[in-house]
Amino acid sequence: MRRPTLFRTPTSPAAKLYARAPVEAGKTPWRKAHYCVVDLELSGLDQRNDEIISFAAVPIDAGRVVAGSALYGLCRPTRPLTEQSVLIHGIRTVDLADAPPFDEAIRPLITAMAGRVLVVHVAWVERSFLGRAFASQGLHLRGPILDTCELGKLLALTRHQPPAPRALDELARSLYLPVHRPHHALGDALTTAQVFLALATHLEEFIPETVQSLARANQRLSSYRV
Amino acid sequence: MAAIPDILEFLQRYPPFADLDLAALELLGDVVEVEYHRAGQIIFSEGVEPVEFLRVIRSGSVEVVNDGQVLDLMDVGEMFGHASMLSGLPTGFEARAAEDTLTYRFPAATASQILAGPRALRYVTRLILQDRHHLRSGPSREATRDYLRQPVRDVIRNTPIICIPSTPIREAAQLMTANGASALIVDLGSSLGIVTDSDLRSRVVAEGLSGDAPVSSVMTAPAFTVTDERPGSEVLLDMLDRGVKHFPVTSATGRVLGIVEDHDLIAIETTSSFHLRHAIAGAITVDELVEAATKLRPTVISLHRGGMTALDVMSVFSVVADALTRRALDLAVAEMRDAPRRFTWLALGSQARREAMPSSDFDSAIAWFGRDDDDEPSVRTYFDEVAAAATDTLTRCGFRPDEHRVNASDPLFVRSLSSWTQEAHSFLDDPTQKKALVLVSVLVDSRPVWGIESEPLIAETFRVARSYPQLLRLLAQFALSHKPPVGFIRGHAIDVAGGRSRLDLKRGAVVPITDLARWAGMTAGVTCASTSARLNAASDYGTLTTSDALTLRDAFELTSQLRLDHQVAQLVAGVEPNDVVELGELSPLQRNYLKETFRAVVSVQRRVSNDLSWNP
Repeated sequence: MRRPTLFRTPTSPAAKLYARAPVEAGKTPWRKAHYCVVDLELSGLDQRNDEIISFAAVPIDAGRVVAGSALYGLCRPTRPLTEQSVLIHGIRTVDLADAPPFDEAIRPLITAMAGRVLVVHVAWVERSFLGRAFASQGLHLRGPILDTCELGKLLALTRHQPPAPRALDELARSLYLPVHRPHHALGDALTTAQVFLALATHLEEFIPETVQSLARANQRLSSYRV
Repeated sequence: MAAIPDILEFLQRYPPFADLDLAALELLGDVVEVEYHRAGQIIFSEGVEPVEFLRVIRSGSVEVVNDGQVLDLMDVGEMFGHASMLSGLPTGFEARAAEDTLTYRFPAATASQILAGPRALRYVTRLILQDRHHLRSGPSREATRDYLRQPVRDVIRNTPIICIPSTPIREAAQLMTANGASALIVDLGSSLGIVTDSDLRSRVVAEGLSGDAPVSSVMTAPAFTVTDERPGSEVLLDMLDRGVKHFPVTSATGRVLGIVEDHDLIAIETTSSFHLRHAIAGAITVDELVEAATKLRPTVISLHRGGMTALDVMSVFSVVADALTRRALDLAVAEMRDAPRRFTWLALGSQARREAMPSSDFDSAIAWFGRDDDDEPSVRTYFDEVAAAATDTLTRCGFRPDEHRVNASDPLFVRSLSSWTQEAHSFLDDPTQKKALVLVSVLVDSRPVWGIESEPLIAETFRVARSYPQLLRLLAQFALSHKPPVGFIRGHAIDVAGGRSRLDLKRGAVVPITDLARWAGMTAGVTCASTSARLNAASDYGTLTTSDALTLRDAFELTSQLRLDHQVAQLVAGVEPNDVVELGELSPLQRNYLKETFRAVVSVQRRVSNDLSWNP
């Protein structure tokens, strides 16, 4: 079923919009760039078998979270949810019975992400699940992905502080920020967006930050580790 | 697109958002943006331009800085920027993140719409009035700042007078008189009661209690008390909120230290008015008095700039007017032969209520102790001359006599006490007499300022008004006949381009409110008192519902503030102050506030009118 990974053709108007939108230049100062903070709730962490069951996207423009334009959606999974996953995010199979199927549900998210730099907490999850989702729409993820988990570590190192917590809620608390509904895509996306603003603001006390410099958090971390 | 529930839930925990319905909250949720400010970052600067956003602190805290001095620290859930946003005026302070701070911001267009709802409006009005206390810059800022910080323990004047509940009223009154106190504390063991001189007057006189009755029968208990370390400004706001003028002050351990009065707190702020009163009392010629009086208007301007609220400025202005009146009479009497009779000079109208403003007319009357018909013509001639001389001096001091000549220079208002009292009683019995309602209104708002102040007062005649239902009914109808120009404002709001339309704030809002308050106060046995004291009494007595009384009080406060703002602008421009504003000079939001205020007054009038027709 999978399409070849190198040559993909967008399959929907949303996908076309995403594929054509200009990618934010790496040298754009961080406050000037447009971001889309995304959080996914999954049926599990198995990249091959698990699915996205809900998602939220929160835009950041001019260094402010445009919370009024947040997007939240549910996707109908192809197989029943395990008890374990229900315990985590509280979404049951019945709750998703009326949700659109994945291909359809994901389109508003693709539109929301068009032309925006993706910001997530712990990038591999989104990279992997979104990558697969995008592939199904004939798309590649475009542009850099900014990871608040990496940025958190970078700030702690830059400030000569003890390592930053990995968990989103703990990271938010360590920055004296509110923690919104955990394990709810919208709550986590808002928390992540606020954490991102705080981290970028503080990192900029040391050097002027751009989209690219923030995207290279991981490389900057390794230079510290040497 | 969806409003984020967490944000709405947060807002719902704080006023004024707590009172909003879900639809209004969602409207805010649709436009909210989240900002992050590093500690020390300036969110907006002082006095640059109007802010276009309302902000609410989500986490962290924000300092309010005026001229480099931190005046206030705002905490989670507090909003800021609204005063500038709503008035369209530059900000009066700098807002600076005290620590890393997250704020929600809402664009003016949506926020103003939401905040213009009646309940949010009350809250915001109060906040803005409070801001004026704290945040306005101007010449007397130093004084304001000290006053802000001064703990209330520093303004207690006397050692407290404390008695036990069984103390007879007579003894309590003697204790108060002997100590020159206006209130005393009743020790109830675990709590405190309080008795004020106005309690004694209203409850004892009105209810005909015997002097042997225990003081506990007239006290207010438990009294709201404040601890001695609280700043004066906060305590004053508490008083405004509760409509109370006296608070017992206790130490942290609960020991009673004294009583603080609203006048004590207001007086701290008014060093300039103190000097002015000193100059007035020291004037030994009319010319010197006139010279001293020229300082009154600059004083008003500086008090206003110093951030004093309109109601406080009005009370200071009235105190100074009293001082000028007294001195004018001292000087007039000194020039003349010995008075043939003892007499009293009565202030009428707004001065009597202590609500005078630069635009106010100064109404007055003379009552001498005697009987018209017994007195020789020379007696009347003497008082006519005193009245003419004093009125002339006061006019030179800038106090215009009333345009309808409700004034001591009119022979109608120079009379013997017995003639006044006789007439007052005749109005009680037959309120349908010609001019009865106007004269009752004039006489109820009368207060002796010179001469024999302790004798029975003319206004007191009307303390028994509630036994005269016909008079009250006619007075109510009279009060309800003044209609705020609701339609006028509404029509204008549509025709925004205008600006030629004028509005008389006094006639449009103040008179309807003060007339209604006077009537409502009389139903509760209150005679001469401030509008807010009357409203409080009427709500305690049950003539007005608590919320209607509050609405009228707020409406009065707001229109008074607009009047004062307008008059100070005129004084600064060298124009003779009046109450007529061009609608064009009001910001859209001020117009909106006025419209809401007028509507609120009209709806109270409607309820009162309904009550009257059901309970004839």
